[in-house]
Amino acid sequence: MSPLSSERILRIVIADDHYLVREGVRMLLEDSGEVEVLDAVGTATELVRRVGELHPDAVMTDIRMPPSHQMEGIEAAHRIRAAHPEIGVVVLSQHADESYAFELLKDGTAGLAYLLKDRVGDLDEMMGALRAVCAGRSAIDARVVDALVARRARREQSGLEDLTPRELDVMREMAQGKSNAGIAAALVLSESAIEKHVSSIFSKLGRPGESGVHRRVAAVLAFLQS
Amino acid sequence: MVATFPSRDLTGRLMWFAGVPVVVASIVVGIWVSGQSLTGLAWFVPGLAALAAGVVAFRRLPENVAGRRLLTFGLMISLFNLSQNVVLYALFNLGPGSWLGPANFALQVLGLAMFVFLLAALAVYPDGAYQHRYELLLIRGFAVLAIAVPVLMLFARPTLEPASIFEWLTGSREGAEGLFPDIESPLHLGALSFLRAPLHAYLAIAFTWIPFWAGIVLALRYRRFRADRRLQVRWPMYGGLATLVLGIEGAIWETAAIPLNLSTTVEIGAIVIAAASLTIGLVRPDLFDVDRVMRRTLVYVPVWLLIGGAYVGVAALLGTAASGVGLQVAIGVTIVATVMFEPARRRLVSRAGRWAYGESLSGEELIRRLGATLEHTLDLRRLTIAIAAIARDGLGVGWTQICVDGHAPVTDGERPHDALPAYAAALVHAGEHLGQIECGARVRGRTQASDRELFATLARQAALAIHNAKLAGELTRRLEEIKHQAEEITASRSRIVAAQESARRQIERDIHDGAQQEIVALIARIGLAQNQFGRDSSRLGETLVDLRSEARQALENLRQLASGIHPSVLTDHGIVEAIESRAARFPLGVTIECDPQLRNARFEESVEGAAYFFVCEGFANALKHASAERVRVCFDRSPAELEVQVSDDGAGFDLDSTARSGLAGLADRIAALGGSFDVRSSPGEGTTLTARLPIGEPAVV
Repeated sequence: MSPLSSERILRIVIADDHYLVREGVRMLLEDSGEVEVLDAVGTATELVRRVGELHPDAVMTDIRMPPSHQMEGIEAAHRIRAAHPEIGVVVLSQHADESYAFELLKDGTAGLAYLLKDRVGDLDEMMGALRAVCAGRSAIDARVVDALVARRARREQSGLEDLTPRELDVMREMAQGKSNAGIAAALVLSESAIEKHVSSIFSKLGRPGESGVHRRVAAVLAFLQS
Repeated sequence: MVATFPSRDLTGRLMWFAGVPVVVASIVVGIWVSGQSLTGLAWFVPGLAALAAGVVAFRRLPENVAGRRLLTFGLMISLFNLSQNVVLYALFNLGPGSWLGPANFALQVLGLAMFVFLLAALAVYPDGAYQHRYELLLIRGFAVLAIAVPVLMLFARPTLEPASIFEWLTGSREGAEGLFPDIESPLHLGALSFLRAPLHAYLAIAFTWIPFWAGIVLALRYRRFRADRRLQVRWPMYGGLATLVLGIEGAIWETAAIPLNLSTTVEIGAIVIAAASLTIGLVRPDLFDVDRVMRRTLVYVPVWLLIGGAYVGVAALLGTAASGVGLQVAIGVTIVATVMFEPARRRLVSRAGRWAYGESLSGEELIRRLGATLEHTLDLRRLTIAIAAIARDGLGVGWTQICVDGHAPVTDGERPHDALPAYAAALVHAGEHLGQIECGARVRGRTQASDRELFATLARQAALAIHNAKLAGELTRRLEEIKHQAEEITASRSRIVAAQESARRQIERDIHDGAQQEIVALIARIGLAQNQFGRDSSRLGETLVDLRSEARQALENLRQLASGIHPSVLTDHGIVEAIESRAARFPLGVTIECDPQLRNARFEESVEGAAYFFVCEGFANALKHASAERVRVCFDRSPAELEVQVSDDGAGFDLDSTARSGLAGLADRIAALGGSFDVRSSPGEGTTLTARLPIGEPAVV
């Protein structure tokens, strides 16, 4: 099951306080023909209100917005997920700092994605994240995963030192919410090889292997976070 | 004879009860005998006085040995008096008999013993304890003599020696021998006849001699007492003086220079005074201020006369001794003796003065006391109070007053309303006038020549002390000031740090919300262009045009941001041009006034930065809060500083009610460069901000 396999047009709401960004993202997504932007708003409050009215498939929101310019986007994401579990939320962030990712994913990873804003030029990446959250899965920006791995690796006895370089690659892909098939495609390996790596990774990290993709993400994140 | 007195209550009580009938009997018998002799009646008075004194002392302080001994003394006198009168009565009315020998012996012993008790009382006066062993030895010695002398007399004479009363009664030794019948001494030994003369001499002087030693013992004790105890002894000291008179009079009577009746009266009076003073000193030393009651001069003058008399006497004696050689020699010896003994006389007189008037503090002692005070006092007021007290004490004056310039006067003692000072001196140290010290007249005695010098010494020392205290006070104030400044610097430093932190946050936010978002938008737009590429080239061209204009906008915004952090025009062209450039983009009308020379002047980077942001803050202030229309900027330069002034024609504000963080930040930044900052504003009057920044030599480009 590929994230891009669905042909259905996604109905989304965009939130960003910067006009140019908001309009740029809207134009890019609409130009793809796979997305219908129902509304583009400038504040988190407006976002939550419009989501209640429009019932989109997914939401794409900035983190830092008026009035306090702190983490309004993440708070809005949690509120939307709590009120409408069927609506996926992609959070766009300027922060490569992993603590924002943790803040977003602290209560569960299902239906949530954390993308860096650099990705807004990469349509495939954005569509992948949107489709993943719509399907109840999750996605984390590869650079944020790298930051997590690096931080975890700095600690003694992190467990990461036991992983082979190939297994680290697989874990990175896994954390981004990819299925075994997706990982196989990304790393140009057979699916059976990926399966072996995945079970090896989980045994080395001392965590049970899990079937659901987002659960695997959660397990990896939980490990990196601990 | 016992030298120590039993310390049990019972003894004292018994003596008291015994004393009363004795006194009564002595009065009765005395009246009876008085037909024949004045002495018989007169002696009951001192007996009564001493007994009463002893009773009071004993009643009030039953544990005090001195009181008991005094009581014993009184009892002995009364007993002596009674015995004398009984013996006289018997002799006159019954005639001599075999009883007379023992009675005569008893009178002799009793007469000597009663004064031993006076000595014993004074030797432990007033606290009931011996100070030295010689006091006890002296008592024992006289006690032994009181028995030994009458006994030895029995050996030394073929007939009995008449007791003193017969001598007093007849006025002479010969008279006494005539009155007293010849009675064979049962113990006469011819070998001891040589003792007759010295024993008689002792009997003659004992009544003077023993009280004299008692006085000496008390005087020696007095010297070693502390002030409070001395007050107690002062009473008997006057009593002692009376005793001294008794002694002198006794000595004179021996030469038969004054009538017996008068002599007896004086002796009796002296004993009364002595007894009374001893009791008062023991029981109620604070009864009267003894020093006030007795004018010290009254004490001093007799002593002075005594010394002078002795001096003349010694000189005359030597002259007389030499007169056998020739008149010239006698005069010469007298003159030499006069000169030789003059220093001794002066010394004695000065001692007598000190004894009578109390120790007058020497300059050194006064300074030592001042020094001790200075060690503990740096507070000016407390110091002044201490000096005034020491000065009053040391000079022995009624009041002292010190007035330190700029402070309320401090007075020790009561200064009468319109009292003029006996002495006054300016307090001057190292040419600086610090204040004035004044004091009243001596409370006791006459003004002495050394007083003025002492006062001057004191004034000098006080001036030094006050000078030091003022310095210390000044130092404390300075330290406080420095501490305050240090606190202000710390606060200012932390405000600067906070301001820097806040400025950094502002820049981060500006970049985050501005430049970064614009670049994000550019990325999105590029993504769009990429999608359109080859698929929809007409729309791609449109997208690219937007892309270019967005990129330019982003660049312009970045430029502005950079100039807000530190404008390049300031770095390149100096403060005046930087302000002109800023003014060009400012929405209000700006006038810039500046000396043409100053236009090209360059200053240190920090000074230019501070001046630039000072003006920018002034602009922001005028724009945001003042609703001003015009802003005027003035630059001016002195050799030492650059003055920048920003004034607006806006609403102004109340300085007291408004604390503006922007202004505080400015003040800190300027203070950090050693400059000053000033705001003048009031509602409706506009606002003028002035900054003065210290500059080194300006570099002219």
